[in-house]
Amino acid sequence: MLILGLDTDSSVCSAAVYDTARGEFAARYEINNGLTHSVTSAPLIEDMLRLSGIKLSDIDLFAVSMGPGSFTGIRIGVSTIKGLAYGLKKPCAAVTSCLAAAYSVQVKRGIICAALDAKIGRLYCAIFKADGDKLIRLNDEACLTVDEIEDMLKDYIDEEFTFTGDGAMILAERLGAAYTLPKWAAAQSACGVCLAAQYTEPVTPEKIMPCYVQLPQAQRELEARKGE
Amino acid sequence: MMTFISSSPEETVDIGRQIASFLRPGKCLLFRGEMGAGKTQLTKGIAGYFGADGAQSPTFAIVNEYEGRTPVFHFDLFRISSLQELYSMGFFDYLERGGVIVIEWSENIPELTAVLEDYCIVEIEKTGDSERNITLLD
Ligand SMILES: Nc1ncnc2c1ncn2[C@@H]1O[C@H](COP(=O)(O)OP(=O)(O)OP(=O)(O)O)[C@@H](O)[C@H]1O
Ligand SMILES: [Mg+2]
Repeated sequence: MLILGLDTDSSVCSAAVYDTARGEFAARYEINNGLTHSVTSAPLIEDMLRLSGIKLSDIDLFAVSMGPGSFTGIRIGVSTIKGLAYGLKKPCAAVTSCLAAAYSVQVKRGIICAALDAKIGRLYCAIFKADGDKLIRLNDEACLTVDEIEDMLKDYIDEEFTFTGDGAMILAERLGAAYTLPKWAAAQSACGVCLAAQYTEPVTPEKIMPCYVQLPQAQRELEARKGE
Repeated sequence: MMTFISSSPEETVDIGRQIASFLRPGKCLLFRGEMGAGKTQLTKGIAGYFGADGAQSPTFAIVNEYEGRTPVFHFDLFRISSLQELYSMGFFDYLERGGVIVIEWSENIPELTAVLEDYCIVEIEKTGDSERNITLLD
């Protein structure tokens, strides 16, 4: 089976084709030139397929990261994949940005904490438990401060941790990890989307939707009080 | 802190040009001031400095984009009342587009000062029919 994955929910736009029979990526493309995904995503997919000799009609499953992340980015990604799958009458899989980031590290045991920079002094975060190749979700994505994440991780203190996502470095610094992925590799990417899609129930294109996470309200009162 | 005194709409536009000459891409100006204070007037000068004429109030569009040497993204948050709404109009995506960001009615979202990294508060005070004090707080 060939899975085409797309990720546009940060400033990076990436696409990949995963060949499940070979257990390898047939193609991986990534561009980081600001938030112009409406301009780059379709030509990027087209170019990648042309150069790798894959026809759009060869793709069996269209996968996308549905967020949380950039509001505009998510909408572009979801509508692009929806459109392609609808036109070709193929199934879709939508995975969260955190799940994609968690699958991208391919860790086989312990706790995986996926954290993506929400750009407001907070991180979109979810944690997963590795169970062989598959990940088990331990909570839903939330928009948290580093302190809140640190608190949440206390429940798993006896486990091995892996941090992933473009917010991983911020967390690892605070929590004293010896090693994190370099920034370019930690950015959520289409590869993780493809890998996560293997374990996601395929649906028809009209079923996939952006995933938004409620931003904090309490901070408003806090800041207002600080301002006095 | 820096204060400018204006005695006409034209002078306010000129002050906008002067302020713009200090701005780098990525800077957010948080305007504070009552209705008719001159926030849009000041923005005309800022956009004008970067080579884009015709800045207008974005009250209904919420954001106007001016394509000058440096783009200027002009927001009016009069009808926005939460961080969630701000996110849902794509505000945070504008921060990465390499422009100067001007925000009228920034007082509607007090969290902005906690959330933005590179900002300057600009207070516009009506001191008479055609007199205004314009203060940059850092
Ligand atoms: N010194 C001055 N500087 C700026 N505007 C002035 C001055 N004196 C008088 N005015 C008048 O005040 C009005 C300012 O309007 P402007 O649209 O800039 O206000 P605003 O702060 O953007 O209001 P709103 O909150 O409705 O968006 C204009 O009608 C302008 O002619
Ligand atoms: Mg105005």
